[in-house]
Amino acid sequence: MDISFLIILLFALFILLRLEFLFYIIYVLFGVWVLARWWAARAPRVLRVERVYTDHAFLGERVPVRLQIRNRGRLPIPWLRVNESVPLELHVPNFVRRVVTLPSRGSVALEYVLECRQRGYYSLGPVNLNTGDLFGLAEAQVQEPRVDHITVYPRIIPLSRLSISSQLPFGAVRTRQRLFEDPIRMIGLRDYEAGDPLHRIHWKASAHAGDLLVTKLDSVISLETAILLNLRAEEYDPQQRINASEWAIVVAASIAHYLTGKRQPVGLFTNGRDPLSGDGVPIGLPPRSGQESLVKLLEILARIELNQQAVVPFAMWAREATIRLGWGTTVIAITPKGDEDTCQALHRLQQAGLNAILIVVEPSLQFRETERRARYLGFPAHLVAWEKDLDIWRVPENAPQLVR
Amino acid sequence: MTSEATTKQEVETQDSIWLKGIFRPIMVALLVTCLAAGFVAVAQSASPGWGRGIALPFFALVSVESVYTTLWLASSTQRDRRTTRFYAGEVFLLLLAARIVAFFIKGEWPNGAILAQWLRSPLSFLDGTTTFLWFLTLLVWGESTLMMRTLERMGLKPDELAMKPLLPARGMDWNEVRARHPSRSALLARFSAHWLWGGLLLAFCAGLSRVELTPSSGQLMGLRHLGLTPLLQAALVIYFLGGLLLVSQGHLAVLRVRWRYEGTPTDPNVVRRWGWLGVGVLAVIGLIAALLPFGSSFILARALVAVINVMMQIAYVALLLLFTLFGLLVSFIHFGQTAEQGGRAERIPPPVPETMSKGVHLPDWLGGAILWLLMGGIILYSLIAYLNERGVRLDVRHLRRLWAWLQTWWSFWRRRAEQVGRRVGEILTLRRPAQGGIIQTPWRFLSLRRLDTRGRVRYFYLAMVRRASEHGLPRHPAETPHEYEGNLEAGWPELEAEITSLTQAFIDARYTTHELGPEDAKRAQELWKRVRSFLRQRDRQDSGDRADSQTAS
Repeated sequence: MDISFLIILLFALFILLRLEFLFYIIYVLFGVWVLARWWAARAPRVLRVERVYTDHAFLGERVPVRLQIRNRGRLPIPWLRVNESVPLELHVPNFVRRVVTLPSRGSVALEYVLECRQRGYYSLGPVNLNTGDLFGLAEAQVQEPRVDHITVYPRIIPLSRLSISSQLPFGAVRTRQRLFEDPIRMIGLRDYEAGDPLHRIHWKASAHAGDLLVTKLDSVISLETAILLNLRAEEYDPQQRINASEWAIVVAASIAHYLTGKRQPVGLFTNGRDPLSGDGVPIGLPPRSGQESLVKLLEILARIELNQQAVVPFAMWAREATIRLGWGTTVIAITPKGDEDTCQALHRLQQAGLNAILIVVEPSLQFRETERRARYLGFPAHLVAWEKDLDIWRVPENAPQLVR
Repeated sequence: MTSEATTKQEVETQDSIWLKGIFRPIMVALLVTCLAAGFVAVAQSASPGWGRGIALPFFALVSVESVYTTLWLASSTQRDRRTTRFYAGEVFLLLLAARIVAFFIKGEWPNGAILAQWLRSPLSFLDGTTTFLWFLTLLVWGESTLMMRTLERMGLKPDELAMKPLLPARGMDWNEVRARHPSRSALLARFSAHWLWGGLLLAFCAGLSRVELTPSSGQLMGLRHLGLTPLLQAALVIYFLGGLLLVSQGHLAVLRVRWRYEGTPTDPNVVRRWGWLGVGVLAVIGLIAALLPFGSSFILARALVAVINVMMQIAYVALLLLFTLFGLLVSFIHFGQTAEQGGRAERIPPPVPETMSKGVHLPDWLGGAILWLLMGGIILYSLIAYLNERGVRLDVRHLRRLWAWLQTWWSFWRRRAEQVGRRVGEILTLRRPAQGGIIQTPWRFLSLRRLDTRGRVRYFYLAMVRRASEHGLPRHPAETPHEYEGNLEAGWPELEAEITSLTQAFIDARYTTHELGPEDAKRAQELWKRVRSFLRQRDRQDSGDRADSQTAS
């Protein structure tokens, strides 16, 4: 509708007919025109958008999101088209649209559910708002710049035991290797045998029993563990790149979860790309124990992506990444392949006093050779290309433990 | 499929919100009746009393009938009736009704003679009134049908409502569905144009109705402008405001189709509140517009004058009360005198200013001036917008250049004026008679707290200079601080260190740019205090010596 044309025509008619009452019509039309433009231009400025949701979720969870749109103005908003951008991985289609009306100082809520089907760090928004007047004279579009994020943790496969031994004499995870006994973990008393050190004699109990008794100590290992996750895109088979890298992240998350459950310090070092930092610098999280540390680690694992720009090979990077780790720390290298360079790098770590373990995540027919090479160089190698490969660490608690 | 399911599907495939509303049919009927009112008013201006109050209600009925029939035919079950024969029958019946109304208006019913005349001369059946009524009946029927059909076509069709889930299975997409139906924007544009030209026609009729044809005073035809009848004023207002509401509804239809095609769910409140919001907006604007000038006087001005008058009346009453109270007070004070004076004439109350009792009258030209200012602004703005929408951009560079030149010109002359003012001030200051050769500056209170560090240091040094002048060591204007320092040290050798330090502090404060801290000001103050206490001590000593010598003498 061309109101300006109508106003000019009415004015011309006024001049022709000297009809003063037409001024009233001109005022009304002009008022509608000006108000429509002002209203439409002002509406986006008085809108406030807020998302209410849980910003962290586990894989498979359903996260309800409430998009609250509030009109802070005194004038109502006759129509508002809301177009919320959501990640396709969590919601199909990748938008949520609705047309609503907002009363004066009122609010409206748009609700949708995110299906956390894939780990990652996702953006919610921006939300595009279109509005206009009642007469089709003006429309306005605005993009609410606020973008929120949701972190979907990677899948965690519960492990019941892990055949990882340590070179440290103190720890919290029981082992049947009676190489080390923890002096603070007394499990009972036994009769003195020739050769038992004198400080092991329990004098009070001996006096009570009238015979020499020595303390019986539990055997433990300490697993200060650093997970080395290789996410250098070039080292993955192009055909299996996506699946294998995702699987590597799942394995890393599962191991970290298991060790944290055993109250062991776990760290993470990866050459993947964190979209939050965006600079492609390798990430290092020194071994720490506790749930807080696990959450940090899982957040990194949720965000991390294959690094296409990484130029330093894993074998070279592993040495630099582990340089500050303490003596005896277990280094679990999760990598797509167990080639000669990787094995040599882990061997060097072994020689530097670390306890290296190789986990290969890409299906490989040459794994036998890798295993043989690793055994020769003095560290264990595991092929964990499929979920069933994790069964060796998922045996029931009472079943005999696999020991290297 | 059960009957319940069938009913549900039927409900879902009907745009019930759009089709069932009575707002649009009523508005269309009103609009067309208003249009007819314009023609009736013209007829009444030519022949006063024409229509006898029957014509307009008849056209309103015709309009309602046309609107209802259009809606009834729009139903899918009445598809077979949408034929030329049906429309012809409808029009025939309406024309017949119009002929009966013509009998009412003329007040002569057919009798034998009239029937015989119709037989002899069939054209006599169509007298002027009948022809005019038929013309208007056809106009009202056509306009109502066209407007209502346009609005009805703007609603969502069953295939648009229901087919989306079925489209992929049928290998179709929305574009095919869209192609089947007319563009709602085009329909809205057509409706708007129709309303616009109808409005202009109504305005033209209103203009014509004001002209009275009076052949008199030897002229062939005399023209006399009359005021608009309230009916016509109401018709104009209802037509334009109602039309805007219908345009607003049309815009809603365009938006609904757009949202439907892109699959955006719509809150039902959007449609429900739309009409009320439109009515509210137009009511507010209509009310404000009624206060604006559209003649030599206007309601707002009259209201303003009324408010001012009321306020002045209140002030007048208050003043009257005050004077009365004052008079009473004075009478109490002079009570005794009043008793003595006995029958002296009563005190005449002070006359109230004459202007207080009069109301305020805005000048006659004010209404007209505001009107033309407003109208000029509106027309200019509309013209610019109209041209802009058609790609004609006004070149404002010349205006900007002119504005910049005006600003430069203004600032130049302002600077000149300031320079002249300063110069005049200087001349006046120089010519001011000096007392004792010293220019007396007005006394000013100096707050040390308001001074910055440099200012404070300078203050303490100048205080020392003033004291020194009082004690016979004045500073010559040509003396540098160091030269003066030498003189002071010669006069007060006990204060050599203080004078040197204070002079150096002054030089730092006056001639350097490096940062000075508060401690510098504090140090200068300490130095000045020492100088002052020394001078006081010396003064006391001198006065003691003088007293001793006086006692001795």
